[in-house]
Amino acid sequence: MKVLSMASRVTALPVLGLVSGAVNRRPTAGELAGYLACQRLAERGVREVAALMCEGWTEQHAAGLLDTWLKDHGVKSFFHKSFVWFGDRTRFRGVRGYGGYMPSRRVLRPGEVFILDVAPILHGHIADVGYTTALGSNAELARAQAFLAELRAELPGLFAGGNAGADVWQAMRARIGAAGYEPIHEKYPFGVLGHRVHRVKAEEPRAHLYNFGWQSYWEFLSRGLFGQLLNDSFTGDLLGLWAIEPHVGAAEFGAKFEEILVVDEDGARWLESERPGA
Amino acid sequence: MNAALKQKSVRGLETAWLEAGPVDGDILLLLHGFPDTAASWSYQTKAFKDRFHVIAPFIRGAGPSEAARAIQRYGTDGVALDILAILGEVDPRGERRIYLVGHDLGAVHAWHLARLLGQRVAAMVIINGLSLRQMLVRWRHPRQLLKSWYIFLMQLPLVPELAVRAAPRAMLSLAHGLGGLPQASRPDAVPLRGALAGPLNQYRAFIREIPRLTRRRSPRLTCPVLLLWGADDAFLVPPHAAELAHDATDVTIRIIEGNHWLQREQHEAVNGLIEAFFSLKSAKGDPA
Repeated sequence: MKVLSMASRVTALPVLGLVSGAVNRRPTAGELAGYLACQRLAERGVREVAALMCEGWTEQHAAGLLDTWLKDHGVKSFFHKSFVWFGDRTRFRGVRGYGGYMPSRRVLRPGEVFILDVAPILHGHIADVGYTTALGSNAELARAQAFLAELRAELPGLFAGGNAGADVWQAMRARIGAAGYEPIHEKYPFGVLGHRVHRVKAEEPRAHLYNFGWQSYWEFLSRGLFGQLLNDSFTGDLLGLWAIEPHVGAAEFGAKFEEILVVDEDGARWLESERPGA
Repeated sequence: MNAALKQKSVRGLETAWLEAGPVDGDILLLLHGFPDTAASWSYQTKAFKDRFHVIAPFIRGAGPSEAARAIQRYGTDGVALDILAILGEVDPRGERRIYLVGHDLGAVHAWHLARLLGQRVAAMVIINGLSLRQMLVRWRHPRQLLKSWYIFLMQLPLVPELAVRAAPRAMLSLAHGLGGLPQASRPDAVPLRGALAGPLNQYRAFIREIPRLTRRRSPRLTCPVLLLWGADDAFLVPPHAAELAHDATDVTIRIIEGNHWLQREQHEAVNGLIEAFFSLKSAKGDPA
C-alpha cells in the first residue's frame, strides 16, 4: 500500500507531461451532457433512498438498495458501488484499512448524520456523488452544510486561478481548519480532495475489489495513476473533469458533498450549476 | 372481495396492488408467494377490510405488475423498493402502523421489509415461508434440500419459462396439488397463468443474493412475529424456535393441520389466529 501511495505522488514525470494533454482532452458538449445525465440520476438515487431510510437500517441495507435503485434505472456498472456511513463513521472514526470504509452492519439511530456516496456509470459516463443528511433535524449538520456551500462557491475560483493542484488542496485544508472543522478527505486512500473522471468503455464488470469495479483500477492504472488523484503533492495539469469531494469533520460526525467540476481553458465551473436541493 | 385495483409506475414499470378498507386506518400489508397473485389473499381481505386498510401488492411480474427483464428487480431489494413506493403512495407521511403478513416467497420479502420499515411495523405474521438466511441454513439438512428440488430446477435458463408457457394449467395444477390445496380453495387459474414466467425469477434473484448474505447479517427484529405453519407442508419442513433466534426477539410458532397454502386451505382458522395475534399485540402496545 505504501508503494501505491508513493506512486500516487509522482505527477511530474517528463513523459507523462507529453501525454497528459491527450489523456485529459477537453470533453465534447455531448459528453458533458452524458456526464450531467448520469450525475442527475445519481443525485436522484441518493435522495430517494435517503428519504426511505429510518431507524434500524444498516449501512449494508442502504448501500444494497441504492445500488439496486441505480441498476433499475439503467446503470450496468459502477466506478464504485455505494459507500454508506452512519453516525461517527461519517468522520471515519474507527475506520482501519480499506475494509473499514465498506458498508457495515452499523445501525442508524434517530438524529444521526449519514452519508451516501456512489459512482455509477451510465452509457460510459461516470458520475460520483456524495450526499449528507440526517435522520431528523440536526442543527450542527445544518451549520456544516452551510460551510460546505461556501466551499462549493469558492472551489471553481481556486481551480481557475492558476493554482497548482497541491495549492488547491492546501487552501482547502487551511479553510476547513480555520472554520473549526477537520479535513476528513485527508483520511481517504491517498488523501484525495478529488479524482479525475473519464469516459469508460467497459460496462459489464464482473468483479469488484473494495467496492471499486475492475475497470476503475484499470482506468487509473492505464493512465499511470499519476495525475489522476488530487492530493497534497499534485503539481500536474488541472484541465479535465474532476470529481471533487471536500469532506469536513465536526466532533461527532462528518459531512461532504461530491460532484463533477469542469476545468478547461475558459476556467472552472460545476457541471451542475446549482447544487440539487440548494 | 370488493378490493380496488390500483396502479403506479415505479422505477419505470407498472406496479399494481389491491386495496380495501378505511384509507386512514392501520395498514395490513399482504405479500403473496409463487405461483400466486394478490388475489390469493381474498379470504383475508374480506375478513380484515373493516378493521384495516388492506394493501395486497402484485409482486413484480404477477398479474398487472409489469414484468422486468433484469433479474435484480425480483430480488429482495428490488421488490422492497417497489413496496416502499406503494406504501409511499398510500401513506405519504409514513406515520401509520403496518401489520405485515407474508406467505411462501412473500415471507422472504416480509422479513426484509420488516427491517426496512423499522418501528412502523407493529407485528408480522409469516405463513409457511422463510427468510433467505433461514433457507440458506436449512439447505444444510438433506430433508429440506430434497423438498427444495424445484428451486434448483428454476435456476435452469429458459426451461422453466418454456414449461410454464407451454403448459400453464398443468404447472399450476402440479404446484397446487403438491401443496395440498383443495380444488374448491384454488384461486382463479386464468389470471395466474400470466403470473408464472416473470415471478419465477425471484428464485434466480435469491440464489444470486446468497454470497452477500454472509456479509449482510441484519439486527434482530423487535416487533412480535407469529409463524403459522401447515404441519404437512410439501415444500418446507416445520420451523423450530432455535432457527429463528438470529432473526427476531419475540417469536411465536403455531403449527396447525394443513399443507402449504394455509391462508386458503384453512382460511377460517388462519384468520382467527391472525386476528387474535394482532389484537393481543396491539393491546400490549399503543391502542390500535
